[in-house]
Amino acid sequence: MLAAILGFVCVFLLLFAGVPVGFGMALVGIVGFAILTSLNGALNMMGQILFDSVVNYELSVLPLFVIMGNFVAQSRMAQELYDAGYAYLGHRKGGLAMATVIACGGFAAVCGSSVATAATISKVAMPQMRARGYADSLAAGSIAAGGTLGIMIPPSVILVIYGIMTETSISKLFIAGIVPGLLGVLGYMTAIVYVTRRRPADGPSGDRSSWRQRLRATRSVGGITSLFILVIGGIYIGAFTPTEAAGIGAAGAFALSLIRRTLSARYLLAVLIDSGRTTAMIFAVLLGALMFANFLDVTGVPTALAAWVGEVDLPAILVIVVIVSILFILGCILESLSMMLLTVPMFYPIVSGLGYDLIWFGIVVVLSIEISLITPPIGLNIFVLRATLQDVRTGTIFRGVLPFISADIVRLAIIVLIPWLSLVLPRLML
Amino acid sequence: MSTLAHKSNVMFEYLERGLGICIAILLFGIMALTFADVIGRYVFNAPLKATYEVIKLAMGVIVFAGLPLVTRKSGHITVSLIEAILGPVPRRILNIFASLVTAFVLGVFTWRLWVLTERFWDYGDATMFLRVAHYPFAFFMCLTAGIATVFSLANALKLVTSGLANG
Repeated sequence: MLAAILGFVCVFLLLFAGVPVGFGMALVGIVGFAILTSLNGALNMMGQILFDSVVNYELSVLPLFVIMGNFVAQSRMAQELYDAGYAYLGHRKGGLAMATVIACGGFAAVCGSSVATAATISKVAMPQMRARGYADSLAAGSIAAGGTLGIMIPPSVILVIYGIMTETSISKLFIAGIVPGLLGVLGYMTAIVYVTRRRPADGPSGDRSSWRQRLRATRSVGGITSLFILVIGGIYIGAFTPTEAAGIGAAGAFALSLIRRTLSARYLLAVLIDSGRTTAMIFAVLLGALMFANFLDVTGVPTALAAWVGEVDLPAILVIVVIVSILFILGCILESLSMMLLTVPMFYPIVSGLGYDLIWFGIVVVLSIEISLITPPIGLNIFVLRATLQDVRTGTIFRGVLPFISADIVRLAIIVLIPWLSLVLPRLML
Repeated sequence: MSTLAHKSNVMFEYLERGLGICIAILLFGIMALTFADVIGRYVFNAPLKATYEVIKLAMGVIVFAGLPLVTRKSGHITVSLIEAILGPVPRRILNIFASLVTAFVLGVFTWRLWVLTERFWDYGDATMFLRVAHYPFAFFMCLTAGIATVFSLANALKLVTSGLANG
């Protein structure tokens, strides 16, 4: 127990000193493993992880989904998603912010990253909302919060990594994210209604679109919709494995950008290199996390903790509440991916020992990460927006996301209390 | 000193570009291959048997070719909670510390990948189906991990020298 606690303390110290997350975890994992077993054992374990977990077919799902998202992002399809949302909701109070959330949800359906979703949609939605005199807080808040849907609505890079860590089906995890993702859209809409009721000047309404315009706007998102249906539908009916679906999705997104002529050779190179860079970043953290998880395993703490929780006979829901609270607090101070990679190896034996479905727990974890992306002081999506909107103060954005965080906390409670919502669709799969 | 720094900078630049192009080609390749594989399976009832192994090996190259790129730009994922409240000098000292720890871990990676290369060479490890030898891939990973180590040391050095220059 002491070894594990010391391990966590050392990791935290290194991370807070600014050491890259993956290397901090790798260092502590290897040193800890060496102390508990032998130096040779630790070094061999390291070599094995470095080769086997990278030279790996299943993990090609990560770069392929990253490429898909990047192709879609540079194809200007985000504009059409936003326009479609606007056509139906623009005339309402706060309608442009609602259109933003819709655009985020639609973009999330072809992109597995929250940061990419927020960054892409902000370029489209922010100028429009500003032109209509929206308050910066509401405008930025809706983009930052809407962007978090990127990792909940499939595909999702975070769910892929969770699936690998816990050996659960990535296909089922993806399908499980659909209902909670839609619930998120609904929650954010409610938050916008609440804000504009209290301060109508923050979100004035836009023009009403005619049905002809609406039809045209709906038709223009056909490409992105077919891509989603092909990729996620293919996973749902079991036609593709996640890796195959990712390959199809990436190739499909590439074809779409060719058809739309948004892709030059220079852009293509930039998109691919950028995707490779992102892949390397994710793997650097993943490798460190695997080494740290191996160290945790030899301390025996995860299994002992799971056994202890089973023995003391606490009410299961209480344990879950404690776990969710820990995720929430760590989410505020840690980078999101690292938060998951550090805690999940500890928690998932407990959760499955209590008889809960690990698919459901994956959704709970992703929702906690969504929240961590917009909570102060280091919500990543806030900083993405800060980077694109130089003239908006960080404090303004944080104030703007507060109603959305409240909506997310309600959603978290619903998802925790009613596992059926996450599990109904995956259970219908073949 | 400054010409040396300049020369190494130019060399790093070329290295980076070369690795970037290598990544781009392979990523596009695995995308096309996965796509072709699924089409082959469904349309022609003839999956490409080698896909699995080719993609597997390509992944090793892609990830490790990306490692120096991310390291050079100090682009690794970090937790930036404390940095924001520190003054410039302590922040610089912490950044130097972080770069050195990164270099150390990458250095150990390099060493272990070299040991792995030797083992693959000795035992003749290869993929099951195509019988592609493992050792060149382990060696490539060792090489790029080494380059990343150098990049991280260079980052630390740059922080030290520019810190001294600014007093």
